[in-house]
Amino acid sequence: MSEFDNENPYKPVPVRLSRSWIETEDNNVKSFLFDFVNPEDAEKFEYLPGQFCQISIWGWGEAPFGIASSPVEGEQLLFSVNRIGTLTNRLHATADNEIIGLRGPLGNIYPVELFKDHNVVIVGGGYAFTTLRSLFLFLVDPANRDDYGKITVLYGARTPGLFLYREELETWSNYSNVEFVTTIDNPHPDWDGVVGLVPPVLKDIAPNSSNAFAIVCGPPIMIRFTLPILSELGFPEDRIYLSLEMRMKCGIGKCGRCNLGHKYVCVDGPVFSMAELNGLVKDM
Amino acid sequence: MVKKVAKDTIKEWLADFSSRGILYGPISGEDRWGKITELNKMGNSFTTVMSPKEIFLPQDQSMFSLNIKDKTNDVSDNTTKLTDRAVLWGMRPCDAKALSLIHRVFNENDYHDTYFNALWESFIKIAIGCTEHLNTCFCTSFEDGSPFGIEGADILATEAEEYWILESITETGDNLVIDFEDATIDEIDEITEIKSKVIESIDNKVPVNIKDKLWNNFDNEAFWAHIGDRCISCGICTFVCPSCYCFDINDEIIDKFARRYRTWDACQFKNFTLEASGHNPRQTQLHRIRQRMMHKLSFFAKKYEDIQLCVGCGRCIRECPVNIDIRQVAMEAEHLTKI
Repeated sequence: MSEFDNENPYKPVPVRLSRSWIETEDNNVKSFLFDFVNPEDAEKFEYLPGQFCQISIWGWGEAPFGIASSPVEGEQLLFSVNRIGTLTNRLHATADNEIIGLRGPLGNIYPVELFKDHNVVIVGGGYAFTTLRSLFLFLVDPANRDDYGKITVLYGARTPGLFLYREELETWSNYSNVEFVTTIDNPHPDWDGVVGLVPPVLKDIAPNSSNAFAIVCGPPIMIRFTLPILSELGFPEDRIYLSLEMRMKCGIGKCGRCNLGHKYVCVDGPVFSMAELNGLVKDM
Repeated sequence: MVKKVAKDTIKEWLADFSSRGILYGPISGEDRWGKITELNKMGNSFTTVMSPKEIFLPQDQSMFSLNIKDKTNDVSDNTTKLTDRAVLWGMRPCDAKALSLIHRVFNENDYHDTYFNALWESFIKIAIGCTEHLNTCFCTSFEDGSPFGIEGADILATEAEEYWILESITETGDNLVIDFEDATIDEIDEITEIKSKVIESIDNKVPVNIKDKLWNNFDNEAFWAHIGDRCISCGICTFVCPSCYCFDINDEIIDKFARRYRTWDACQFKNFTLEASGHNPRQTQLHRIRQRMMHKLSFFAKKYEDIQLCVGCGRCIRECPVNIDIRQVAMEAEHLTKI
């Protein structure tokens, strides 16, 4: 077979918007639940937590988004999108049943095989909680739960209304052997939970680092101050994982813009261990 | 397979391809590459400002289109392959090697770039061995670089006093030249002598094996500021480069048609890495020129068994409006104390 006969990796498959809803009180983040239009596309789409897709609307462009649904949830795909540019504004205006384009799954995964028989600490902040939701639901799924030890989740937002998946989060403490903590930056009349930035709250919770992996995803400033805390708690750099974001176009390692040294965030990432990142140039 | 072809016969041969509409090459007076409709419109200068990259990775390439008023969502894949296999004549071995590097990247990770591959397979590539060189040429600085290199070509054509020698490298090349007369031992000797004379005459050796040196000096701002301050971010180095492949993908709507297309892009522009949030990992020109130099001489070599993403064609040196010279960067890097 000649290379020309291969499937065009830039070609999106059609997905239909099942429904969408606003996630945050600032109206900036909206979640979208998609169905594949063609059953064969659904069948081919096998993914694990941490991967992303290129979502596109013809004439409006294409951009990468982490998959917020979990493979344990079935065939529908969930994305939560911040309204920030041309495409995302257009996406927010998408009507139910409208058909848009999707390419994926792309990128690597949170190494859930490696996490087996370990405790898992998930630290997230702000809107960057999408693939962490996917990861959490994967770990606590009855089919997988016995493979993992204690799961600690720390999720921070600026205000109570800026958490994603608010209703769903209320049930997360009910899973067995799960410590689930949410925190907001400043005191708020509607909030009787923990108050404080993610790094100091993480220090207070002090999850045990022995036999544990930590996964961090959030705004750059949160990451910068969270990593030293994890080190302090005794997490070695090869047991800390981060999910990175960079501007992308192709998503398949060709267009040349999302590199960190000789690695591309789109194909070699988006998930990297701190050990891997420490061995790369600091081009962030 | 090594063939000898009289000079007039080569002309007739090419004229025949041209009359059949399947001859491509450098266009005389345009410094561009494209279809040669008449043989006297083919450029014969030693090198061209633009590289033959534009044949395989066009500046503006339609990827998909669809009628957005039509609710069937029937998307056309605009991958184009030439109906008849064409002959690309005239690229230099450095260009052929550069294109083979793009071919490698574009088929990496099991993602095959169908647009590039369709065009790549549409051409029988005849490279011309260089019997002369410019003072900006430094192909022999690279391990497998040669004015008579064969990487990426189907046939290497070298001009002797009285005739051309065609060395076929691939089966595709064999099929094209099979009917020509075999070269005699004497003729092969003559061409070998021509080749070694040219190779010896290139004394422009640049220390290009500096991947670790550059890597370890990524944060050496003084070193990068030296070129970063001068660079005006015009991007010409990337556009004339035969191995720079970065591209952009955008959509447009014209009348009732939506089109997704890709265009050349360059790491020298601020927007290249500007994120929707406003964050930009490469904010200043220092960051951007560093990215280009390091991609050429460090990152690529780290990823691909010490192969650099530079072939020494010298175009970026000749065309840079502010005299940035990748050879000088390499030489200065070699003297950096941090190993």
